Amino acid sequence: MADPRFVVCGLFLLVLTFLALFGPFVAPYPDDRVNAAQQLKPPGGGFLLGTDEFGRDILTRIILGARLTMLVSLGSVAIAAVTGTAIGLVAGYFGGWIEGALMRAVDAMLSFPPFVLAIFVLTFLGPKLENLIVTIGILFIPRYARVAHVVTLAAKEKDYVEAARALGARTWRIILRAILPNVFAPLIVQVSLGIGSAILIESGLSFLGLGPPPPAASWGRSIQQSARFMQLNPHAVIWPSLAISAAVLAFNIIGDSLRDSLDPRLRII
Amino acid sequence: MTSFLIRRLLITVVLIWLVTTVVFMFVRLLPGDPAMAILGAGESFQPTEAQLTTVRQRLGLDRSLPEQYASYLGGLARGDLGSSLTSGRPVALDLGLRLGRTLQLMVPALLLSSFLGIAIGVVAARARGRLLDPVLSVIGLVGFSVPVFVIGNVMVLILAIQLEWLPSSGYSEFTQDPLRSLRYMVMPTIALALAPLAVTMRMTRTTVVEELGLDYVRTARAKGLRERVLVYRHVLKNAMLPILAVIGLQVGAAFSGSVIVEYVFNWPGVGRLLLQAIDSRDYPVIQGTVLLLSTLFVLVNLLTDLSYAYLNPRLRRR
Repeated sequence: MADPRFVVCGLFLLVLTFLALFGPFVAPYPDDRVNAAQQLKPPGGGFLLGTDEFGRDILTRIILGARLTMLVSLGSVAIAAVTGTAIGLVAGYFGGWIEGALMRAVDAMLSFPPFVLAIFVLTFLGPKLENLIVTIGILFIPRYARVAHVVTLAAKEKDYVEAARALGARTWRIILRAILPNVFAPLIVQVSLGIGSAILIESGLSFLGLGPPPPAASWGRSIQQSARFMQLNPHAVIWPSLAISAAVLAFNIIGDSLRDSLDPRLRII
Repeated sequence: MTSFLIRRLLITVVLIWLVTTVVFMFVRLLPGDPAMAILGAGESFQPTEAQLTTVRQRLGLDRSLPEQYASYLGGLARGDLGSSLTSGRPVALDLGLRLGRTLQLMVPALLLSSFLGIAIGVVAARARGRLLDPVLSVIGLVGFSVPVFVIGNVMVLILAIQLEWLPSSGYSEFTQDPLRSLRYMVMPTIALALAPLAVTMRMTRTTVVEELGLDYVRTARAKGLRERVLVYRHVLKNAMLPILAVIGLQVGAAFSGSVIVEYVFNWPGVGRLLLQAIDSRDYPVIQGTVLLLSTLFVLVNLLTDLSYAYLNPRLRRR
């Protein structure tokens, strides 16, 4: 656990979580402070990172945007991990037509381009926060279902599962107490990497204007709106860009280092 | 091999049918009026009765669902994707034009990412234990963690705004002025190539490192085979399968990436068309674009699987 990558990224994510929870209390300015006299100011003069095209403090926008990013990425990965793991466990344990049907459905989901499908779905559902979370959550189910499926197939042949069965344990007890614990190690790696991908998708959708509408602060949308004024004040684009990239990088590095320490044989795909 | 081929082709047909059906059903099975969903009705926008009637008539939403579905599938079979609600032009015509421009970015980007990704991955694998390896690992991680629009904006800021070397965005027909066209292509191509390059490099490094630990490598070294020949002729060849699978995944992912890249650089390809159609709620164009991108995605997966099976005979028998 003394892996320095892990410590640095873990600390960064703690800060991010703190900002997501308490952002409005620590931000230097209230978010709705539109100030025509302070448009596109460079850093300094009371604005640590400068101001955007509405004269809003960039640092404040970034602090408040953390909440959306964390809500969407954690929420969608939670949905995907729980549903996907359940599907994988059931498919792997029962086998037969149940396995066939569930895993074929998972394969079919993988045959859609996820980002394009998310754009399509959100266009007609409307860009509400809940819709964003559920859509990304569903798109991410296959990766967790596959992991849980593979692990379950290996675990159910083990002697302790056989012993539990011989002792007359009920099916659900066997699945939850004997098999599920095997899934945790690979699952936590996939959760960390999944949160990174979810942030990429969320910021991409927000950047294209398909994320939650203003006044919700969003890193992706800030970049989209300020990109036109990049020549006048690049800070309004650079800082939120750094925020997104650092968040994704932190989750990916943690996923990588978890994989190295939990199971070096697990591969990237 | 033949039975594998037939089975895989049948699955592809089923998947394409599934894609077309999901896209067709989605709007129509949403709770509420599909015409409202298509026009994007919400708290901020209420379409007029006249707008709703126009959309219902133009899209045949007033007919029964089986009737609509039959005429939709019939149209698809003839290559008819309907016509745009705003311009009136056939959707298939615009898509054909736009697809060429999207591929104009995607093909060079993926060639670049595959060759460079494999080359740098091999370098990283051979540098194991030296400083270069972790440095390349970090660069690889950054490469696929930074969003494509961030890469795009940074390039615009440096190469277009600061140095004024390249135009910040836009498109020029290649046949009219190749040099001018190439200048427009540089930044979007690099932006699109970076993430797949990083992923290909990581996969190459992992598989080559694994392969280098095998017994035959030690034997080859012991009998004095030159390292260059060993790595490029034997090791890389054996490591190629998983690398190829990852490149296949990157081709699929590049369709998503191209939507964002075309937006950043105002490149008039399929992705830009999709976003313009969403802005004007032009349903036939949205539907046609999503169908095209999804079908290409399915076909890319098919090609990846087939080349994988061709190179790995053990898979053919399954």
